Parts: sequence; C-alpha cells; structure tokens
Amino acid sequence: MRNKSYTPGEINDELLIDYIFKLLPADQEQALENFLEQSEEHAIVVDELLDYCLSNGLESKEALQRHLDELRQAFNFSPPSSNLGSSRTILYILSLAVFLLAALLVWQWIRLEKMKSQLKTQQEAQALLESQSKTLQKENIQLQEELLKLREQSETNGTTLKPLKDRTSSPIYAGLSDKERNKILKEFLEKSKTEYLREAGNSNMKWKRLLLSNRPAEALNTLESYIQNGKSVYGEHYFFAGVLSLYLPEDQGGNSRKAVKYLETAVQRDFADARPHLILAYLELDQWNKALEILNQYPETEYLLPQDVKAALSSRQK
Amino acid sequence: MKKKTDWELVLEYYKCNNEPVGELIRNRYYPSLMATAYRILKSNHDANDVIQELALKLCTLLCPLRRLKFKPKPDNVGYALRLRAKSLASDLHRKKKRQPRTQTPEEHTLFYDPEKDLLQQRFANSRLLDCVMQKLREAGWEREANYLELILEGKKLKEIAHDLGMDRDEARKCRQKALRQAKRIILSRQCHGDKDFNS
Repeated sequence: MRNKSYTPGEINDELLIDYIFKLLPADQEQALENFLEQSEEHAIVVDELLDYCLSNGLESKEALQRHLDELRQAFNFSPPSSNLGSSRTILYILSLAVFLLAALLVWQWIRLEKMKSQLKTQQEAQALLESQSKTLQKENIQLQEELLKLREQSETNGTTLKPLKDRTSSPIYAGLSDKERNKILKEFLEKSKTEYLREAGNSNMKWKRLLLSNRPAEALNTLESYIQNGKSVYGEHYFFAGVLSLYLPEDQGGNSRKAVKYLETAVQRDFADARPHLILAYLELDQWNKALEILNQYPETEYLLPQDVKAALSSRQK
Repeated sequence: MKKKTDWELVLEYYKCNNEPVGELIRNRYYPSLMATAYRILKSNHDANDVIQELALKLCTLLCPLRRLKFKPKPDNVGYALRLRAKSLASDLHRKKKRQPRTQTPEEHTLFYDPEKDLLQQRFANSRLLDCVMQKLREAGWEREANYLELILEGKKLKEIAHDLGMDRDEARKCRQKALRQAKRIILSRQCHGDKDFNS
C-alpha cells in the first residue's frame, strides 16, 4: 500500500475530528500524525478540538455532531444577501465621489479667493500709480506754466532766461543780464578811479594806466599775462583780473570760471572787497552752496549785493 | 456550493457573494472555530457569539475592500478564519475582564487550564494513569509515556529534556504529542472501565 501524505489544502475539520476519535484507517492516521508533526498550526487545532471535547464531555463523533448542531441552531446564521454588499459599494463609491467633488470645489474656491485678493492688490497698486502720475503731471504743467510766465517776463524786460538746472533753485534770480554787467562794470571803474587807484595817476604800471583810461579789456589781458608769468604776487592783480573777467562780455575776454579762480585767490590774500564779486561769480556758475557759505561767514557782504541777488539768496537759505 | 473547494468559495466571496461565508463558517470550519473561541472564552455561548460576529463582519465588509481585508492563501482558508476568530475572542475576553466580576456557574472554569485539569484531576486516579501509560506503550509511544511520567513527578521541561536526552524543541514537541495521545485515549473510552473516570 502506498504511504499517504497530506498537504495543508487537504486538511479539514471533518478529517481532524475523525483523527481525534480514532475513526481513520491506520495508514491515514499515521500520515496525519506525520503531518501534524510538521504543521504546528494544525496540531494546535487538534489540541483545541481535543480540549473542547474533553471539557464538554463529548466522547464520540456523534456526540460532538449533536452538540454542534444544537449550537448551530442557537447560532442561527443566515448570510445577508449579496445586494447589501453591492448597495453598500454603490453608497461607498457615491460618498467617495461626493467627498472628492467637495474637496475639488473647496480647492477651486480657495484658488479663486487667492486670485481675487491678488487682483485687488494689483488694482490698488495701479490706482495708486495713476493718482501719483496725475499729481506729477499737474506739477509738471504748473512748472511749465511758471516757466512760460518767467520767459514772457524776461522777454518783456529784454533779458534772456537761463535754463534752470535745479528744480529746487529759486526761479527769482537767473544770472546777470548784460545791462547789469555794464552797469556794475561802470560803477567799478569809477570806484577804482576814486578809491582803488586814486593815487595811481602817474603809475608806471601798464594795467593801471589802461584801466584809468577806460580800456578794461586790455587791462585784463595784461593782468592775465602777469598772472600766467608768475609776476603777480599781490592780491590786487587777482582782484582786478577777477572783477574784469566777471563783468566783461565774453568777446572781450570775460570768463566766469577764470573770474571765480582769480577772486578766490584775491579773497585768500585778504582782499575783502572781492567777496561780493565772488558771490556773484559763484551764482553765475550756479554754485549756490559756496555763495551761501561766504554769506554765512561774512553777513556784512549782503549789503554790497544787488537786490534781486539778495532776495534769491535769502529764499535759498530758507 | 458544497462541492467547491475553500479557495473557490473565497473567490466567490470576493465577487460580492455572501453565501460562501455561511458555508465556510457554519459547515466547514465550525468545530475548529468553536474550539478556538472556547479555548479563550470558556463558554459555548460566548464562542458562538464570536463566530456570529466573525460571519457578520465578513459579510458586511465592502466588496472592493474584501480582497484587501481578507486575504488567505489557497491552502489556509481555515487558518485565516481561526486567526480572526481568535482575535475577536481575545477582544471579548478582554472586555469581560474589564467588567466587574459576577458569580456565575461557569466561573470555576473561567481560568481553566486543560493540561492541569487533565493531569491533576483526570489522572488523580493511579489506575487511570496506569491504563493511559499502558495504552501509550502498546501503541508504540514509549517516549511519550515516559515524558508523562516525568511531568507527573513534577519535573520541568528543561529537566525532562535532560533526562530523556533531547533538546528543548524536541522536548516541547514530545510533550504536545504525549498530551494529544493521552487525550485521544481518554476520549476513545479505552479506559472506560475505571469508575473514577466515568464519574
């Protein structure tokens, strides 16, 4: 006879009960013994069944069957219809779909809210920019109107208006006009005859003679040649050269930059009368800060300046 | 339904059919499931409740989740069911332990130890013990008979393993075998002539 051997798939409760109550043929019993030695989980089932039978006093298969039948009646289990599972499945799928839909809606709503808030901030920023640009445009128009007015005024006065480099610079003072230059130069020449060069009538110095004979352009040339050759040591040379180059027209050798240079050295060499001319020279070059510095240091110079220059400087100082 | 194998029934169950659950639990694995639950709960009523709960849980499991939640191998469907029954029985036992204890007729069996019961109560009579030993030896279970004798002498597993020249695993297996065979002999009433046993 072939030795029978069991596989886990062949083992069922019926077989194990037969084994417990010694209802199996000898070879099958031996095969099952061998199998139980290998399979611990089935051995545990056999032990549990044996304990169950012992504790319930079930000493035969029939007694066990009867006992289990009684329990089955109490168990009274009838499987619920499969529809329950399927309906529950539908419910489950439906609830899942509803949940997903709700999640999608919430997500979209959050996105929309975010976009709305972004749009709002953008609109606010645009409105702000527009209002700023409008105010700037208004300011520009006002400035242009003021400029036009000033030009008209200057044209009626016969003077040219210098372009304003700095918006903050005062529009009241716009440099010396040719008339003013001539006037100041005349005053200066008279003053030099009466004050500065009063005792220089018989002087050997060429520039003094030229100046006294009302030839300021030639006097300036000689003074400049002295300065360039290094012959001039005194502040006097620089003072006169500076004043002449400041008030003379450009075609006769006038130059504001040179004037500033000469007048600065004159001031350094204690020529106090050079200060108001230096202030005017600074204003010609739009160097308001330097002019104001001098004015702050020597307030008495203010009285020697023309009226419009004074007003411009005081407004600038404020 | 009755002709189908366990695995075929499981596949049916996966197709949202609940009838295989009834067949598997009520007919095929009812004895072993009862035995498993009874071992923990020591009450036929509670064990029955546990199996009922197991069946209901399996039936009410959502169809798409059945493959995920209940996945036995083709040759161990019974084992998977017993595992579930065991865990449910353990839960119930834990719940009962938490509740205040009430005196019931079955209380003395609540902490029933089958091995102790078997050896100390049923083998209290020396004639029954002699009978079981004799039957074991007749059946060729000499080593198991010796093992039982040593247990009754009060020796521990380690000492018995040393006396019989076995390692621990072997000794444990021998013990299981010895007890299983002894229980089988008692159940088959081969020693039924003993008055004490019958009482």
